[in-house]
Amino acid sequence: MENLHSHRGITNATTSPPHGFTDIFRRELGLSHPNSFARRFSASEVLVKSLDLYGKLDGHEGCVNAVEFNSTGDILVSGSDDRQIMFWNWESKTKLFAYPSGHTDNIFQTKIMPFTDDCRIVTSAGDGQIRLGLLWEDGRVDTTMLGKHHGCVYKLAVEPGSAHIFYSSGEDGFIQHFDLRSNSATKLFCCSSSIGNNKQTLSKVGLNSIVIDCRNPYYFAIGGSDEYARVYDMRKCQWDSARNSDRPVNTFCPRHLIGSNNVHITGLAYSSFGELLVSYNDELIYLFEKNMHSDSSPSSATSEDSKNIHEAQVYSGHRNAQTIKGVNFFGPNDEYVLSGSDCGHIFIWKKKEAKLVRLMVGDQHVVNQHEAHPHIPILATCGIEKNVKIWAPLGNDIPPLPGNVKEIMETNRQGREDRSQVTLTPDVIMHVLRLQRRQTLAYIERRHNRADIVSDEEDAEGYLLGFLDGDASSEEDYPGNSRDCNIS
Amino acid sequence: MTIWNYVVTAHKPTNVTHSCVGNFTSPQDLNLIIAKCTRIEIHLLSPQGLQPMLDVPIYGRIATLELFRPHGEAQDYLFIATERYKFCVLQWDSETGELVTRAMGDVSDRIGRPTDNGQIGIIDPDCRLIGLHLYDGLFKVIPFDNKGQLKEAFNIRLEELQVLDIKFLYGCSKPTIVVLYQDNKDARHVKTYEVALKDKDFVEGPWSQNNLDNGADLLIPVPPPLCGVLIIGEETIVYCSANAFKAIPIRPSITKAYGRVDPDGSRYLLGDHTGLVSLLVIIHEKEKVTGLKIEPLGETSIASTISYLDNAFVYVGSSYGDSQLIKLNLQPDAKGSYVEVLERYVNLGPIVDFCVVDLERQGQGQVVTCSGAYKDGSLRVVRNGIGINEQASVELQGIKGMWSLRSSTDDPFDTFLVVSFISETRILAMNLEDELEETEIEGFCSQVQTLFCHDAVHNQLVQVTSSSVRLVSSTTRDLRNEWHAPSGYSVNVATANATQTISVRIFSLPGSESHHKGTIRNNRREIILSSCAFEGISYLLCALGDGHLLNFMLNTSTGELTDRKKVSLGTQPITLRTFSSKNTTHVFAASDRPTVIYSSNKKLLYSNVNLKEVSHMCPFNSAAFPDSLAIAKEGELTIGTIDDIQKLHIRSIPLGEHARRICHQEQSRTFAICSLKYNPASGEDSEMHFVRLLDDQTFEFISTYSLDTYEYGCFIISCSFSDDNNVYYCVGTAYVLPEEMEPTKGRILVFAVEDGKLQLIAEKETKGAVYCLNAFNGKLLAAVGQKIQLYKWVLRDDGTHELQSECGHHGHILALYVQTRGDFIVVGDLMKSISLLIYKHEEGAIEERARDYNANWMSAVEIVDDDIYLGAENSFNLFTVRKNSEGATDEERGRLEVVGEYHLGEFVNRFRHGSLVMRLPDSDVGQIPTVIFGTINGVIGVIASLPHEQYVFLEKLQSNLRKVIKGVGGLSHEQWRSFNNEKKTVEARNFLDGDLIESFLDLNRSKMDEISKALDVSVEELCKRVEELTRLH
Repeated sequence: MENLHSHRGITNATTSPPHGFTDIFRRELGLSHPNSFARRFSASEVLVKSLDLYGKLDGHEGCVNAVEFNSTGDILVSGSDDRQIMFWNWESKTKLFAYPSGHTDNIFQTKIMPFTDDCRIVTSAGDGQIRLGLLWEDGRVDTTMLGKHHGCVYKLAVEPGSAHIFYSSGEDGFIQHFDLRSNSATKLFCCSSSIGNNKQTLSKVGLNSIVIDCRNPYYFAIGGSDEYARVYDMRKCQWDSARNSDRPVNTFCPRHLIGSNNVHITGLAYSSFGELLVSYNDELIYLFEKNMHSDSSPSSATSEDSKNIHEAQVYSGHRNAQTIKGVNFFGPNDEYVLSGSDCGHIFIWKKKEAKLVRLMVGDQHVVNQHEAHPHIPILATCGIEKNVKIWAPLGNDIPPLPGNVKEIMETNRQGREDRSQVTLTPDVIMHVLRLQRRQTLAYIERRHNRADIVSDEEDAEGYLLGFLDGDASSEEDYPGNSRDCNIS
Repeated sequence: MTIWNYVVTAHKPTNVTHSCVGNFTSPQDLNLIIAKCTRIEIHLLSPQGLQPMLDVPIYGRIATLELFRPHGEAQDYLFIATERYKFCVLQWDSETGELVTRAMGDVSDRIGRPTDNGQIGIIDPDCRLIGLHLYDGLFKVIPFDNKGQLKEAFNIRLEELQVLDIKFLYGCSKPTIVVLYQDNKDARHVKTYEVALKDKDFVEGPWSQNNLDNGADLLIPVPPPLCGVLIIGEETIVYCSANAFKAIPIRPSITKAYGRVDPDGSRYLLGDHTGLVSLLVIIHEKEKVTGLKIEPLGETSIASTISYLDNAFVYVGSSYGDSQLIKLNLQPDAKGSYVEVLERYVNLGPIVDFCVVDLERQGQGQVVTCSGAYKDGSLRVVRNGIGINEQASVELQGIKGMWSLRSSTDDPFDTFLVVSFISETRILAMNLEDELEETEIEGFCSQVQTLFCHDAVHNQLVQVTSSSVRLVSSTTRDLRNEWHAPSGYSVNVATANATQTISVRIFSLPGSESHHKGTIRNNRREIILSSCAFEGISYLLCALGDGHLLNFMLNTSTGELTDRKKVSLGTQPITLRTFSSKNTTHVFAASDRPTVIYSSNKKLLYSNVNLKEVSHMCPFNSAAFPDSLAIAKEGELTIGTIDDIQKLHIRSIPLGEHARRICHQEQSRTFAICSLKYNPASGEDSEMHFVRLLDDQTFEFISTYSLDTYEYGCFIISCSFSDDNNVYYCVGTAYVLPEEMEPTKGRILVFAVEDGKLQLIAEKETKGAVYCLNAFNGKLLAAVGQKIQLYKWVLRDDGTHELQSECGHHGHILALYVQTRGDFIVVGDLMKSISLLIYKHEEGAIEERARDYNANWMSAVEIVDDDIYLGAENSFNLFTVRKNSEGATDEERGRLEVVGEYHLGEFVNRFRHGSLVMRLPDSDVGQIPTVIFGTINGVIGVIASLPHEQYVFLEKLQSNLRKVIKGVGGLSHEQWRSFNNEKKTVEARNFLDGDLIESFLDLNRSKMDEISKALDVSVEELCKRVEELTRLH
């Protein structure tokens, strides 16, 4: 007789919403696979609401701009304006060691190449260099330059599963491909866009962010000095590198920002479902769902015509004006959206409903980057201060949203609207950053006195008003097209 | 302090996770193959029922078990995939009766998210490929070539991320899968894909169907001629194919298991989460499906797997109750059920809690478990060794021997019990009132000690004394004939069967030698029992005067003795006696440690009897006491029946509800449990939660306290408080409201047992679920949500007591497990591993002293000794941490150092200190402290703390055993035992696998010699050392 196949084991009944308490009892019965249980619990709102400051990693002598966990999650790597790369045991809040990166300007990104025993670190900085740090067992570190952009390099993207291949995006608009096996750097193409109605004129898009879709590692997305997030197919880029052509397979932009001259993208993130998260300066954060049926355009001249106009999910409440802020997902299945803010807070929203679930005081003024632990609900953030902050679910009875959350968001909204007519360029941003550093001396510890938040907001507002004056003068100093980059 | 641990299984997993039916052991054999997570059992279906053929461990947790038949083969092959991404293909070798590995491999990927909803492994019905869904978004294909060999695997990207089930469809020219998935908006759909082997990609399949039942969870592919697929939801069952779509509503239920009845795929058995089995019929006319029909058949255990065998026989495998062999009758019984339960197979899983008690006050622990779930919940009393159920006893001193005799050759029952003393023989018999009374057999010589008695043919009896052999009529009881020993000689040892008597005279002359290869030393007071056959294999058992037993394999045609083994059964001389129980041969070894010797899976096993100092024993199958034994111990003769012969004896106490927590109170001779009862009669599933008091001998409910609506019982302990002589049960509860993610309220209830009733003495409300309670320094320590809270028992002005909060410690994610020792508190956190707290009396404060910085998701914790703490975590690993009080820095002293790591492969729910065996003061292992654990799969295991020298020795033995014993399917023991979670995989350290070590005793002699040579230790010494370890459990 033929085989009679049995059904495998026990499938989870997934109809009821997760409930932490009953889930614990389901786990002990075997009704819930332990790993699924851990993921569901890690994604629970109760846990996210209990995130609080676990510790500060002090040691850098400048603003910290880059943080990353290694693949097992026990080591954190940071990069700073002091041009040092530091390794931390974040759990015991201790520094393991540090090495000079060799960069001549502020470090913006550190990446640990996977499957290398955490021995190869690639870094990028304001000097445009991409450098490799090779860690030897005896503690020595060799650093070499792998390639260079004309302008800052804020982001690198490592090809998923590869120990050798990564990509860089620069303010010069170029995407470069790196292979550590051959120490080769290849310019794939320069990102450009048409201006106005004259489709014959191309202008470079200075790039701030690059991310690879882990669901489909051939696709990467970039964002920069215009309003479009562009998705490219790596396979086509490599074929076309000789012709240096720019052919995105998809572009994303909220409907109301199309044609805006005063917004740019500061951060991008792909979710495990292939959704793209886009953060704009002095605008909001938008989530675009993957469009399975988008066709690639035959030429860049018509790429704008094929752009997808989606009703994107919107995340608001924060302020993103003064720095190239990252944006990220959080949770084992990317259940949350995470951003820093100029007001110094860290915002966490639920991805599906865009509801704000947690607001934490991160830095004095600006929180720039945040990185989630690969396995457990732990968060590392950095910003205008000289330390890295570690956030963990703690059992402290704190309200997830401070009492003045509405005032904070209203202040951010007003600042955003007041800024909407002001043009920001990377030079203006760097000017602001330099101003910020002088203000650091006036830093007031607010961790232990929540009542100070209101007065701090007043200080921040006063400072912002001062900035408005400064911007007027900067316009006089830099006449001409605001989108031109002086570098080239 | 010892960091070296020995982990051994006392009771194997009993939770049935997979089963399948096919022709595995031969083209004509119908086999049922069962997986119990880490073990597989192969059974043969015969007219007598299920015949066990093989029971082997697998070095992995089985995720997939499938039989398939490659092209051109007459027998099925078995495909097994494990949760850690190993796979193998097994074939049965009919000549050797062994499993052969046809293929093996590793299908893990460096990147990718392990799938949330469980791994899927499926085989194309035409055996073109194997499909695996192990990571989100990836479908792995292992193609077959034309000869049935496996080729290199590759991945295909799967767009659907939340996959619920995947199956291969029948009757497709290209391999085609159907995928049941959930989209981002939580709607469920199915779609089909063809696997294009050449392109290594999917092609859109023949059909799809959107917006199914929101509870759709299971796909059943339908074979030709109908083809298509059945989609089982909670309220709907759908048949779907390219040509037809049929749906019927069903009573709301969660279907967990199915089995196909007919080769043409027209009928299926479905089992749901309440244990109801239904017959689903696809109504068709000439290969065209016209409808569906479902008909309830009756109740079984809650099925995790259903295998239709043959002729209406069905195997129901269960995870929440005992598995069953059932027969489907054509006519319903009085209750309207078509289901007849023919056989039950014990399942202890899931063990969610247990306690260790000495119910019979013999100095040996018994484990009482909360087992099962839903309606199949039960308590199980697990005891090492075989119990005697006493029926009658009489005081008699100085018994030297006992034999049972029948009153005629054809009488099926024994009538006489001959009891021998130093200088006389007495005869007991059952009278007409079924009482044991003294009687006479005139032909017997009653003034001397009897050496041997036996029934003989032609209604005769034989009595052997030191001076004569007497033949007596069993009907008239008169002497028929007598043989006298020659002058100057005496008979020392005798045995007989029905037709002849054999005497063995020991010569002390020099030069006397054995006729056969086996060597016997220390031959004083030998007792030889020959031609003892177990499971068709003949053994020679030799009992020695020093308490050792030798056994040899006996070749009955040549008389050759091989495979000599030596076992210690005590320190006193042994007498051996065969008896029959359940139509199986057993040997009773009477000594200071009475033991039953029997065979299972062609292996001799030894199980101790729960009696001390049994000097003699004989079977006594009387009409009044069928299948009984007569047992002589100091000053007493007892007649009783014997429990089922197995190493661990399990008594089942069905509850009809689900016991979650249990505690024993010696003072009141009671157990108390937290339980819940499911009430499916009302519209939706509703639960009632209770605290119940049970008699500790009969397990009857003697008192019940009903908890509030939404109130769950979470924990229960028996304790007393400072300045109060009473003993109380304390219960921790939680109010589980539907709108709350985590309970914000609970209670601590304090009960006294008065006049056999639970009396509520005090209650204390808490701001969270009370996950754990401990008696601590005369006070009560509670784990309440994120906090540890200490309560004292305070006398109020009106003379009553109340719990009053003294101090606490917060900062945990969820404090789920708490153990205490002196002033130290060990906390197992849901997510943050183990922390060590200390209670400061003077300050009335609890502070953290140290913690483990690894983020382990805990499932159980225990304190091994003052400095070593044991944990079990979410990825089925065990680990130990050590307090570092002498560390040089605060950071070092504040860190619990991980000193042991081990992959158990089982989810541990509870550790308890205790032992399943009597602790004998003269034994080396008697001093070793042990912890017992219970798991979801029904495993009861023991962890023993070893001295370092013993650990080092056994580690070498384990290392050599790995070379000699190969895992089934080529799986590696070293990889299997490596500590593994999503963050890391590291080699096991400071833990030994007792199951592997004790398998040394099962090796044949040549393999034993091989290991003996490698270790430079004699086989006898090795056997002795390993055999002692088996007495740990």
